[in-house]
Amino acid sequence: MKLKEILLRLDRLQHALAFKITATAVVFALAVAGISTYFFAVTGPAAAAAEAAELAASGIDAEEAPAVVEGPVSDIQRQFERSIETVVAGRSSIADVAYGITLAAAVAVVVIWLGLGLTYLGLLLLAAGVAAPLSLFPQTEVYARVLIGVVALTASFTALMQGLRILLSLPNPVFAVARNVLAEAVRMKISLVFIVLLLFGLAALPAVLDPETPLRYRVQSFLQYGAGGSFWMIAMLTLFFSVASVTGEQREKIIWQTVTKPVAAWQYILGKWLGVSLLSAVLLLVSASGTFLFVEYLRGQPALGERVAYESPNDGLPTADRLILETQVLSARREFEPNPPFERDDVDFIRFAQARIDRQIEADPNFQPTPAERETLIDELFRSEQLLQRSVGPGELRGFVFEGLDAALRTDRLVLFRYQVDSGTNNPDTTYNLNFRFNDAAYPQQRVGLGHPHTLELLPALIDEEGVLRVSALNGSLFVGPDGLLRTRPNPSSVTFPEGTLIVSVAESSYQANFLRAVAVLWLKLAFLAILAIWASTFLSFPVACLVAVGVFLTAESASFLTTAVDRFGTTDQLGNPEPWRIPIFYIGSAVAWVFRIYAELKPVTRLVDGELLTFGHVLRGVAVLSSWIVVLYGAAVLTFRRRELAVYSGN
Amino acid sequence: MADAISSTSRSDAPPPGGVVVACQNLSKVFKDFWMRDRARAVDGLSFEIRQHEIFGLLGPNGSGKSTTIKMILGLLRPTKGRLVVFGKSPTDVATKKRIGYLPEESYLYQFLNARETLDYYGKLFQLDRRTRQRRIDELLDMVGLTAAQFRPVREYSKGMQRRIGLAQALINDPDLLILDEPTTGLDPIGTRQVKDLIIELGRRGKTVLLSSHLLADVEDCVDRMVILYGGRTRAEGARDELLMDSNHLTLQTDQLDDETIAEIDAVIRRRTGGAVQKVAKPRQTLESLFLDIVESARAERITTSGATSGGATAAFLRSDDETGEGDALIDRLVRGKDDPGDDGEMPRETTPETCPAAGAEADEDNAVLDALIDPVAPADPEPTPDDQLLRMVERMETDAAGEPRPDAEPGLSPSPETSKPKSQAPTPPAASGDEVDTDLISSLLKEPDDEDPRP
Repeated sequence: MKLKEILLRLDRLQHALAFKITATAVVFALAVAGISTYFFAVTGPAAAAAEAAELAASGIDAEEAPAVVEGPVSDIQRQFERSIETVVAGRSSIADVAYGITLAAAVAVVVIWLGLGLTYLGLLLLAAGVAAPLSLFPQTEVYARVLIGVVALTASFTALMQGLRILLSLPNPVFAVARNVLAEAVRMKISLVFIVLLLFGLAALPAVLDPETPLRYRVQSFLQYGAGGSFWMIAMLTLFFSVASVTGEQREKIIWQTVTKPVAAWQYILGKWLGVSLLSAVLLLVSASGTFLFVEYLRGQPALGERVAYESPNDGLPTADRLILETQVLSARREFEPNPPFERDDVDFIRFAQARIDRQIEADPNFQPTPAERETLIDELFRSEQLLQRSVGPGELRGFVFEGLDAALRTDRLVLFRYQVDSGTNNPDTTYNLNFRFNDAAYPQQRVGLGHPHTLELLPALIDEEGVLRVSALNGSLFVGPDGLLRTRPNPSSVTFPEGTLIVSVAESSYQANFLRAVAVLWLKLAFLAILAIWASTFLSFPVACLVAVGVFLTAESASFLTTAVDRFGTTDQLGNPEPWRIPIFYIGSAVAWVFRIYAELKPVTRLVDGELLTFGHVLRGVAVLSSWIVVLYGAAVLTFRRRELAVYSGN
Repeated sequence: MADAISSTSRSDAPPPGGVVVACQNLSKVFKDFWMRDRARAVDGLSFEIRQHEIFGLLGPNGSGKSTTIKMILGLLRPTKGRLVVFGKSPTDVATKKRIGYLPEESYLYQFLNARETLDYYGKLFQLDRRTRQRRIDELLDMVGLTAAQFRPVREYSKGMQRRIGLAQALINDPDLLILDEPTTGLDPIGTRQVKDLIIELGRRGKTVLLSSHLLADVEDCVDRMVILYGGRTRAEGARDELLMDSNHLTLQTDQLDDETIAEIDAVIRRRTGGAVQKVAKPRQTLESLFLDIVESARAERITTSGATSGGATAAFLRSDDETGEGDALIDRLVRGKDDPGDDGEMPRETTPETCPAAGAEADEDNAVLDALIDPVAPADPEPTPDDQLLRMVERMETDAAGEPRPDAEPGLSPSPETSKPKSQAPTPPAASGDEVDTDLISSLLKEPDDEDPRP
């Protein structure tokens, strides 16, 4: 029997109902057996005996070991322990293993019912057969990992595409067009190149991470390149593929045969958008799953100072690398700045500012500011006064109030206090002593370098019941004088906490939930890019539509930078003299920055890498704005498409 | 398919009914970027296509045929005039459910295979899965692509792509089939099949709009036609009205000896004062010869990797099985009686009204009239309908150039009388070399059962 015939028979077999039922039963049995075996291996008599032997070796009586030492334990102490527990919660447990096996079994069942059971089993065996010998040698071990990664990602991609094809097989024009788009994406070379590059790139990325660098940096690098790189690659694929698909059909006149069928313009455009958006969703899902799982794998690796992951030599306290990874990177923190001592429109401040300007006018009769110039002067005065409020003279004490920190009490996770001090020219060889008090609790004295950020971990208990944290900063060191009293030794000069460098950050959500929100926002951006490209393709040729779509995409991505640039650009020169040529540039730049400001504020990848919370508010605002754009561009695309005469004159 | 259809005629086609397409003073002017007129592709065109008729749109390249079709399909908007398809605007999506369209070239998704292509277009018509699968199987069989159905379309030859293009145009069992140069790129077998299919569809009550500059295609199939030049109508009317040379008569019999011919000549001289002008043995057409050779090769089971000869017309286009498409009912009404043995295929008995170009009949023709010797000097060859059409086009070009017309054959003038469409049943086409006066023969052979059943 020829190989082709055997493969055909196997294919028929994997599509048969009897095979699917049998295979599902086998997978279910294997999952139950796997979980049971692991459970008994961990909790059974053999495991207990091994644990007792370990305790005996350490000189502790096995009977007494589980008992907690009785005695008064302060709330602070309990909270500290709980906070540390949350840090080491990433360690896998029986529940995690059970979830993992259940998830794997669910995926296997889905694959079986998609009619891919034997295909994937064969692929798995083939990949294992090639990867196993490669992993035996250190020189080739990396190739084995890349191979496994590529196979896993490709298998996920094909399974998801198969699922979509089944979902879109209804006899409906919108679904038919969308399904055709998916087939086109897989079978046409340009799209395939993008897809293969993405899958290979993501699989090969772990191989280039330096195992000598601290774990937190490795995780951040992987998140940056995995999530960020994947998004950019999928975004480019979305733009070029959307344009190619729509303009190609018009150029090749294939569209004639589609629009002469009972397919309305709105159905055709919706089908195209749905197809491209689903394709980008599949690619994003595959790359995001790969990124997430590999981050979890990295998390399970020993951090700097650990011999085994989550096991520190520091009396149970996590190492700095582990602590930063768990509290700052794999987190979803919201940042709070101190309340300003006064607002820009405070009556007292306005009165003070006007008085200052009036004094200036009295001193210099030639100085006659217009009302607009007066406002500018008040703005500048406000900024300088705010900065002054963040300055602390030598030996002086300055207080700051942070409000709205209730989430820290709720989540019971460590609070981070981040600050930076500037003094003079920020001599890198100079260090200052600073003392902080947080709601009347003193923190150990800090010896800090100038001009770069520092972080302190605080227990949530330091925050009062109303979610307020009062921070006092002393510019100097404390010592007990010969008289037994606490005395201050000032630093040589004043220090300043520059704007945006005095921050309390609170974990309001989990890293996993933040990851999901970030992926949702990324997909929303891709859906917007898809309709943008399709709209451009309804009236432009391939190269011009690509140029327009990519141009808008790059503008939107750089809108945050554009906002800053426009603010600094202004309409006057450095001396304040108006320059007419700046005016159109300023207003065009301002308009563009304003249009894309919500898009730019989302920053899902940056937030993920920095462990910064992407709030539901952000997501909802993004959904509202991007959905509106999608609807507007969709409407414009349908109108343009309906008005177009698709058959061009081809006569002599 | 050829066997099934070659023995059919248009005589049992449903009578023309309501207007399917109506163009009134239709014009299309293409403009440049500055909105200046660049080309006037169609200029004041008016015609109607009625239900159940096969309508030909003829003209040389650039005469406005394709532009007119694209306006009918809503791919272009008329600059001026009125255009109605099934009583609605051509851009109305609902009308497109009833239309099948084959463009002048096959514009197909290169990444799909034949089956996927038909499945895609079937879904656009919202056909359920079972109907789609059945129709796809039948259409693939009909166009001879069953064996190549899983090969990507990009690997197909031009002819194979035309075949799949034709199949997609039929997937919805259209009421109006618009075929733009349907035989371009097809081999003689494919061409024959397409022509037979058009005749079959016409017989089944479909309306067909056929555009071509291959005059033989049109000549074999259409009931009525419009001949365009420079975007304007130059001639319009029933095919036979336009092509028939009513001053001459061709008589075809078994072989006759010289004596008999002389007697016939004497009878003619005595009765009409005329004479036998030409006596010739009919020649087999190249098409017939080619089809015979291929048929022999098929009988010897010589394999081919390309498209095979197509099968019978797809059942859903022929019969009224579970689709309820009403063709069987039409068939019964046309015949005037129920045929208990009718399995949906065409009757195969040969009648004098059969399509004369079919291979089987050509063989019969070869055995007829062994030698009719011209007693006088050989006359100029009788102009074939192709020649007549070509002459028409040449004359139009002359007219367009402002030169005086050298002659004025009846039926060619674009005057209102001659351009007025006729409603009588069309006569089956005569193949070149087989000139037969079908009216005379029909009247000789007519039996009560062969009465034209039309009201």
